[in-house]
Amino acid sequence: MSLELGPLFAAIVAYLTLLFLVAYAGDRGWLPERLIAHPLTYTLSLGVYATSWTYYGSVGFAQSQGYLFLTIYLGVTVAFALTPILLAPILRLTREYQLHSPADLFAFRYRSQAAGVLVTLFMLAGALPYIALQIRAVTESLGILTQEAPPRVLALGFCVTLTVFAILFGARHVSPREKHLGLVGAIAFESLVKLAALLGVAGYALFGVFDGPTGMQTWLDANPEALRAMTRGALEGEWFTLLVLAFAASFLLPRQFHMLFAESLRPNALRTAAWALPLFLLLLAIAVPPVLWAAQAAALPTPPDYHVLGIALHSGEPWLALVAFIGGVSAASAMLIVTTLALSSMCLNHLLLPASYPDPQLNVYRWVLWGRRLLIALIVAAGYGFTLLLEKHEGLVQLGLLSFVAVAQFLPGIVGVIYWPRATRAGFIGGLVGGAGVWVWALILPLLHNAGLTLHDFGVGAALAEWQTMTGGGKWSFATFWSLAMNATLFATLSLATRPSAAEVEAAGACCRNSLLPPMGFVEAATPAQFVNQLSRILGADTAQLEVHNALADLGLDPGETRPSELRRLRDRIERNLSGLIGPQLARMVVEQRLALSGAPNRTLADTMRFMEDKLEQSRSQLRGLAAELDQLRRYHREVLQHLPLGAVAVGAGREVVLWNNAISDISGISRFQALSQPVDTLPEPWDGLLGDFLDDADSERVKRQVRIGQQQRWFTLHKASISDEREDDTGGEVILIEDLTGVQTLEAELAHSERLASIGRLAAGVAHEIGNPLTGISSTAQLMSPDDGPDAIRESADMIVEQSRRIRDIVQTLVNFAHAGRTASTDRGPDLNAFRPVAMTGCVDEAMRLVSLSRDAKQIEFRNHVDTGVRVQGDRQRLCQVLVNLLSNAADASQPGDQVEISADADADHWVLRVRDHGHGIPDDIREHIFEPFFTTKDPGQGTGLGLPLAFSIVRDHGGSLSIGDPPVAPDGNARGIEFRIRLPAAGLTS
Amino acid sequence: MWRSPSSTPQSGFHYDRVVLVLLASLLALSTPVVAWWSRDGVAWYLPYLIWLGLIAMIALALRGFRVDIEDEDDNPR
Repeated sequence: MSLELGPLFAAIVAYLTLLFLVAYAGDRGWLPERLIAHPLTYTLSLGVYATSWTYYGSVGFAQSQGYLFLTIYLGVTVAFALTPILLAPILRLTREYQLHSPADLFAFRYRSQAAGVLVTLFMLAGALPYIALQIRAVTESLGILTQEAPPRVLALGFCVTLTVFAILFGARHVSPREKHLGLVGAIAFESLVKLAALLGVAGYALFGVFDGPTGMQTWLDANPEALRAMTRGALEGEWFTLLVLAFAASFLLPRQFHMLFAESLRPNALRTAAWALPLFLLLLAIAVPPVLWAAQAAALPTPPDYHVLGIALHSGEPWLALVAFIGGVSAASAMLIVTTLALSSMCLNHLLLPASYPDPQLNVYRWVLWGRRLLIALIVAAGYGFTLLLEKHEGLVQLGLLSFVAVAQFLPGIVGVIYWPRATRAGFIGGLVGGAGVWVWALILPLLHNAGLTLHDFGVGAALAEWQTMTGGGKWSFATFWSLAMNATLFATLSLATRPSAAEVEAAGACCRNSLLPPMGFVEAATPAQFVNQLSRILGADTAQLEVHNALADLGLDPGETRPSELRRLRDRIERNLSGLIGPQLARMVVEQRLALSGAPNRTLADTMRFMEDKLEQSRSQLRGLAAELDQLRRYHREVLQHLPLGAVAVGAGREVVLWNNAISDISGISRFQALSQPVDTLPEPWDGLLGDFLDDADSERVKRQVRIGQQQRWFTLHKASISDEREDDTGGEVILIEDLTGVQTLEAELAHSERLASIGRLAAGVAHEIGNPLTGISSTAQLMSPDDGPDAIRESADMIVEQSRRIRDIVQTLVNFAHAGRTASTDRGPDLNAFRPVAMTGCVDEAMRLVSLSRDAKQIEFRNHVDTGVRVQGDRQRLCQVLVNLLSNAADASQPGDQVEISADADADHWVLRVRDHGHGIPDDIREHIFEPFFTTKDPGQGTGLGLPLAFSIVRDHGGSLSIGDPPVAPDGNARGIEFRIRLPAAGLTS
Repeated sequence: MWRSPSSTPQSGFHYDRVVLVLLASLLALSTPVVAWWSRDGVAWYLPYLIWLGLIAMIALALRGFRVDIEDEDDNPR
């Protein structure tokens, strides 16, 4: 049976159209993102590893080498088993630093454009035979199915179609930071197609040719040499070599690197891929023996490399042959698309851009996009040219392994990336050049010799013969051993012989995660707008604007950001993002040129701490043993500080905020993110002054401050302490604890008001009596008045009535003044310290005396005011009167009828000390220290609230003064008895 | 949520497992054990069973493993 060429080509076009639709649906969001980003979709997209070599060539490989063909899959299994220590670190690096290809990775680690160029050229050289292999597999499969030589134009048409596809779905976005959802979906779809096709053919081989597994086993029993030929390969010398080659190829081949790292949508999908990809490959590989044995049993005339098609043709079912063919097209097209995309990105970043950077007037994005498209076309064309050059001189497997040995040359470099910080660019470049030289000598020159392009084999044949005699190995072990030996030796020797540059040390720290120090220096550009301005000169205005905007958005920063440490982070972020656009080396060059760092390297404690915390957070799952325990302890201490019910602020030696806990965030409304690294003097008002002034005040370690936040008055107590490192001389900064007293203050104000009302209640009887007397006088005078009285008598009576009325008004006015909460200089929630005025204390004492005298009990106490009219303090008159009322009331309560209570004042530096003395029963020594405690009273129940003295104490403290008890005063009888209260208040004009 | 210092690391992942899987892989794939499973008379699918066993070991070993990446929301852009 054979098929017609026309329908087959139509099938290719139809299949690629279907692929186009899948990719388009993915890109347009018609396919659920959950499906595209699913770990199994990611795994299937990694199935791009299985190309037409695997699809067709494995059967031929199995026929000639037996189970040796399994090494190509088993090497992948071993590499993916090492996901946590091999693939995950590379994925982290590529994601964090926007590295999209092996060339980016090596150029970033070794800080060398030459390394990037060399890797790109070597990758290109290694990939071209592989691309040629795919094109040849498709054209040869057409020949098998049509049983005639297909015209070359078909291969060309296939290449053109794939080029268009690769451009449409791989080089479509302006920004390379965006993932190609459609591409991932399409490649996963291709993997499904080739798996289904190969299993379909194997199913026919098993059930159509052998009548099931039993039939196959019967055939194997009858033909033991077939099974023996299969098991033979496992014992041959190439087994370990091919395992190593497949191990390297599984993540270093351009297409693998691209799908594994650059197109990874969710990093943790790698965990699923670690077992699911080997399982996918197992399913592909298990189809090989049945197909091979069925072909042998049926004595198919097709070449072993194309037994898959031969079996399908043997079925006599055109649809099965078509399915088998489409599976092969799928394997080849997936490889071609992804490889050309990956190579075009490398060529652009490491060959084209460094050679001719676009004019800033041009749109860099557009330039990069079209550059990539052009390169895709050129790479496919080069692969096609290679196909013509080497036509039919090498088997499919031979061309594939050529590429595998090439990418294995990057293994020593990878060791330097992940594990060996001491590796240098000289070592990497030297090793790669040496390894590549051996690769060319041992594999490429014989290839060219076989193709008739060179006359000599340059001694390879003789050396290989000697190797075979010595080790029993073949050309692959020969080439792999000597190239890797040369490479690794040069890599290690040159690395140890040379010193890494500062940039290399920094990059090695980033790669190996062994550096816990943040980068040094601050950016000279002081605002994001200046960043845009500087970058515009190289990137062009639009690109610069967009890149700065993106970097700000990535970091959650504001366009008005001015904090030096945040601007340094912004600079690093821009470098990372640009790395995805123009490669790591050019990105670094652009940033170093336009966003220069200040000459004096500087690093604040806040930066260091935050950098270390970030690094520790990222490395948490890698910490083991003591390090993990210490990290837990660190987290515990941090949580304690963060959740402390008091506001905690730590500042470094440069007064920058190092710690800003949750409570202070709630109190201030300034988030931790906004405050960290910010010098305290640049915090938003009123916190700049509040914290800055407190830090400046070397004398006090505890202060009470009132601040207005919005429309609200708030009271805070601030405590501070130095953080000193006992092992070092320099200061570790200071820590400030902030206690919000607003609630307490409000309660005190309410209590004060209640106490005033209670005082009025206690005065009520006296007040009634005081008002009753003048009322009686008014009443009597009025009754005695007669129309017959003369004008003088009436005037006299009227004057008496007015006089008595004034007495009543004064009493009422005094009561009203006292009852009020002091609206002039206080708020409902306590005193307004900023509204304090000079108060003449003698008037205040008089008023208090008048009030207390209203009380019946106090009537027989003699109050004496010795306070001079010049005694003036800064404060709230109403509240000061309340202090005096409370003290005089207590004095009156303690005194006997006829006793004196004296009030005097003395100057004490810039304060006045008012003394309130009585000669009552005094206070026993054992309760002296309790009398200022709330609700503590020595009076009978119902006689006192226990709030008078505590409130007086609080009010005096609010005025910046103190209330204390002095020695018992000397009474007129010469004995010391009673009590003296001392009210120390700042003199007017000296406090605020 | 903070856990006491004596508890296991947050990820619950142990790197020892990776070493064990690597050793098992090396034992099964690059020592004379290869000669054992590819000798005459064994079932043709034995290599695939061994391979399947390795895959199961990988899946078990990687339970609890997470890729820690800075600034990642684990969502595609």
